[in-house]
Amino acid sequence: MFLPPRLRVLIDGNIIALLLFIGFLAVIPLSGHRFYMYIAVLIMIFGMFAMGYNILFGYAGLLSFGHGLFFGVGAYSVALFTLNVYRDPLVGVLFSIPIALLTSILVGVLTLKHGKVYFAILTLALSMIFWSALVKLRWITGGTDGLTGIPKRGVLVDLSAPTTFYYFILVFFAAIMLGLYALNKSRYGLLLRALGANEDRLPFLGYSTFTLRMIALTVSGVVSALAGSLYAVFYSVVTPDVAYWTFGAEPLVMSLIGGSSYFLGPLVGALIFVSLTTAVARFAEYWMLLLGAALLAMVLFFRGGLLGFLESLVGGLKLGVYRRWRF
Amino acid sequence: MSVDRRGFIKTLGAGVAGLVVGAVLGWAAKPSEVREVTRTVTVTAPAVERKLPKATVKIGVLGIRSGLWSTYGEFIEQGARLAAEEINARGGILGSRVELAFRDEQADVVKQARELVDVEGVDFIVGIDSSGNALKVGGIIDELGKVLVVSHAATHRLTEELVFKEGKKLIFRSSVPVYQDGILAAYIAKDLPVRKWAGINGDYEFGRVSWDLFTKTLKTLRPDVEFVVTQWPKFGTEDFTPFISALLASDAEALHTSIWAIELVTLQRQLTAMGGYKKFKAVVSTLGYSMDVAYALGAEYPTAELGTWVSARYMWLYPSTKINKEFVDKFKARWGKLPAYSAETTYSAIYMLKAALENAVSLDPDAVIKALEGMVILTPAGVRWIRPEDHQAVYEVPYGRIVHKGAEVPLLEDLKAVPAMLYYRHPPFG
Amino acid sequence: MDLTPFLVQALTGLYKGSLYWILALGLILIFGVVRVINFAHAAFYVTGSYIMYTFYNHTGNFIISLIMAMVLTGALGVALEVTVIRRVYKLETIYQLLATFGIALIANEAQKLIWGKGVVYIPIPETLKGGVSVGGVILNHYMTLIIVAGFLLFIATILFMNNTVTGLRIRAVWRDPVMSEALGINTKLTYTLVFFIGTALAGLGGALTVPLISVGPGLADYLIVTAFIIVVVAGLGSITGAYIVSILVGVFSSILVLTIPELDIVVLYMIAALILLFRPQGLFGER
Repeated sequence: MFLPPRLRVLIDGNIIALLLFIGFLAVIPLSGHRFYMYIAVLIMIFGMFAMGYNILFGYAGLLSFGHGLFFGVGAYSVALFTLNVYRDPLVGVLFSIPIALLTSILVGVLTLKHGKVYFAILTLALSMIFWSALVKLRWITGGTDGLTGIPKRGVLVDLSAPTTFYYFILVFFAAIMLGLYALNKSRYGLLLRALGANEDRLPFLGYSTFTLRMIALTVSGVVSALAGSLYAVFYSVVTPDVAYWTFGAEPLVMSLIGGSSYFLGPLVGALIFVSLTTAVARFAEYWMLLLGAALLAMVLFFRGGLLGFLESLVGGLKLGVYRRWRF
Repeated sequence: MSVDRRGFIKTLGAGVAGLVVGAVLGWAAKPSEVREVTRTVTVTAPAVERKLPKATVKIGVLGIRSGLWSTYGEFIEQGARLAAEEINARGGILGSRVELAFRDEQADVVKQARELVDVEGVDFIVGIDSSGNALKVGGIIDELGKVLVVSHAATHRLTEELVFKEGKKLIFRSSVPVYQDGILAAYIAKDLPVRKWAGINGDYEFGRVSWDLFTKTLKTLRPDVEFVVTQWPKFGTEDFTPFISALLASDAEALHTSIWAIELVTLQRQLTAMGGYKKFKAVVSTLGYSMDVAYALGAEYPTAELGTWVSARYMWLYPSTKINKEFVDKFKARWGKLPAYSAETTYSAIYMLKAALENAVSLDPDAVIKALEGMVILTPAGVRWIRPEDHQAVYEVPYGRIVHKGAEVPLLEDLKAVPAMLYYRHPPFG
Repeated sequence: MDLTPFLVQALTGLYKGSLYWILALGLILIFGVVRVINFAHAAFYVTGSYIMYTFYNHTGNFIISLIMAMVLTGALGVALEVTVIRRVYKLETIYQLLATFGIALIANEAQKLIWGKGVVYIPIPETLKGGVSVGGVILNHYMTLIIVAGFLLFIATILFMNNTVTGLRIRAVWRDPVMSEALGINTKLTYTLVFFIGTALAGLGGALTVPLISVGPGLADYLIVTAFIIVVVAGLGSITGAYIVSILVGVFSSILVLTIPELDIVVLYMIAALILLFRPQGLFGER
């Protein structure tokens, strides 16, 4: 191989799998099957949400129950912006980024000083305030019915054709996945993992745990909010449900299903979660029963997630386990 | 204004005339099955063979099928099944069989609607309990490209905004919207000898709009009334005691509520236990005659001094037409209980589609829309006119006073019906 | 200014707070001793309601039905502990949450299969149908009974924990399971016992509420949120704290309903968050 060493470090099983997956997603519209495209968009959006979530959970070892807050901030900022300020989905989605950045910093200042258990509780409390405000401030947010009519066709871009929209999402998805991969391979990625693995030692090496956690929270918050803003454009409707804590717990479940200690775990989890919920919903009455049983089975038998299970089958699978987290 | 006034009045006139003709025919001819009145009178049979391009017409049915409100999904299913069974027993729609596919709208309603259209290949969608869900499906209806007949969700935004203002022509609604809970409730309230009103409504769009329309309409009808206290319990309130004591702390003489389902059962029982029925001389409960509530409260259904006035989107005892009586009997024979309102509205939604298909002789959405617009059809709930501008089925449902006669559910007396054209809002919905 | 409305709100709040307390007590016992956050707790509560309903319909006897609801719900709790919960003790909290969440989902659907989708309730016992009128509001005797029952339960729990050998064992395991094991306390048995007590208390709470609250499958989803807020604000692990906070949340939310109905839950969540920001360990928790 004639690759320079710097580049060679960047290439491992993860990036190959990721590029193959993106390539696979890129050819799905060729099938012409609208429902597959629809499910693929859901997988991409929830994949971004879960990968963003796992920066905090799997890397920095911080359990957040309030990620519905970030998703909701993204969704509502694109809705309010496109409906009231400038009618364009692309500008709206980009507008949600600075908003998410500010929100993440604010949340970080309020929650990061107290330790891991309290972080979980405080993020939950903040997201519940946000949710109740969305429900109650109906003259701004439309209350429980939410905001409708978020445009797919705007002044600058027209995403109303399903295929156009699909590739619009795919571009964001690919950019975020590659960005996260670069982060994973960077010095910060290493530091974040070190933080999750042993938070006491890092200060001895001269690093501020607060700053590192803040970086993790900001990356996580912005990626989650981006997922939320794309979701809002996708559905053209937002309701307060997206900020409720049960919704915020979904990326956690996805990370665990896929394997939260693997880089690609959350994405694999999103893939399984979306497919599973789609499949069991066919049994109209009992889909919650099946979902409950699936969760229980996962906890009892497949705690490493699917990737962990695969690794136990095929030992030495180089998927890049970096630590066993503990909460 | 987009619609000129004269044209509007003309349409209105046509609608009224249609309703009158339909009603007269309904009572006089007493047809033994649901059929579309105006078309059977006016259309001359074409010579070509009338057949649909497919051997089965597939209808997707969405309803709440999990969680605390799952009874409502069951009502929708019962109505849909009964209609499909009847239609198939009589040879289907132009020879095509009706097939149903059920989905839980609580499992991401947009995903379910997409799957119904793209995977199940349904030709139509009916049902939907929650207003939020109706708006979600309504928002993407042009992408789905199928006719949707909503048979329960009551938000006025569905027909006034999505259909009328945004021109989403694929959406129809067979059930009366929030006008019933706001405007008609005020017509009932104006005749009651009370001045001071209290309100308890859900803290979501439907509850807010119900109260808003109620207070505005009542104030114009009876300028002397006052609204002294308002409470907004959130969706999924399991216990109303603090809200009730706050209501009772006021000097209100009567109560308006659009709380529904299990929450209404709790509200009524706690109101009774806390002396609400000693304080309030009248209670107007806009969804008080939903069958789940009537069965659950039974002989315990409290009656206020000037009446507990209740309504729904259809009530099994009104109107006293042959077609309604037969519907109630058939429903009871099939499901063992009296029909809930969303069972009738879904049943009629499917018959609306049948009539439209028989007229259009095509599954093309545009042709079906054309056939549905302005349709006048005789259904168990009475004559429905599908208003062309907003695709809302216009028909009347009365209010009545709860009385106990030892029947399996409480009965109603002093039924008060107001012509639908009076209490429905009209385009262009100022 | 007439303060009667506030007094009345405080009284209904006291009743609501007492209901919250019965729900929170089992949760906090199980969390303190067994160290499992039992997400399915409210599902046990609702199961208690359903069992009460079934037995009351067959026997017409309030007391017998109440006891049966308690015992049978507790038995279900033990069955669950032995088969599933026991296997997640040693796991991270998050897995325990997920496992009990899965159980809650299954329980909701099972209730629908057994008791149907409809609304169920039982009448208030004949002897308790009356009430005391305060400022135009009738404080029903049954509501008073709940307030008294909640308080008695609080006293009984404190006495039991402080003055009995079993209580001492439970406290020992609560403080330090490893040391307790070394001192010859059968921690495994204690866990099962506490799980029984906790779920039986949930069953009792559920059974006590059927005359006032209508029950349907999935009701638990709406109850568990408030119970968690109480336990978290009180601080994990304080019985007295949980009682005080339950009552405070009940009274406070009730007064908010009267004074600022437009924003009641926003204010409630904000206060809870503010408390947690300044005392993340909760009002009565130890850091």
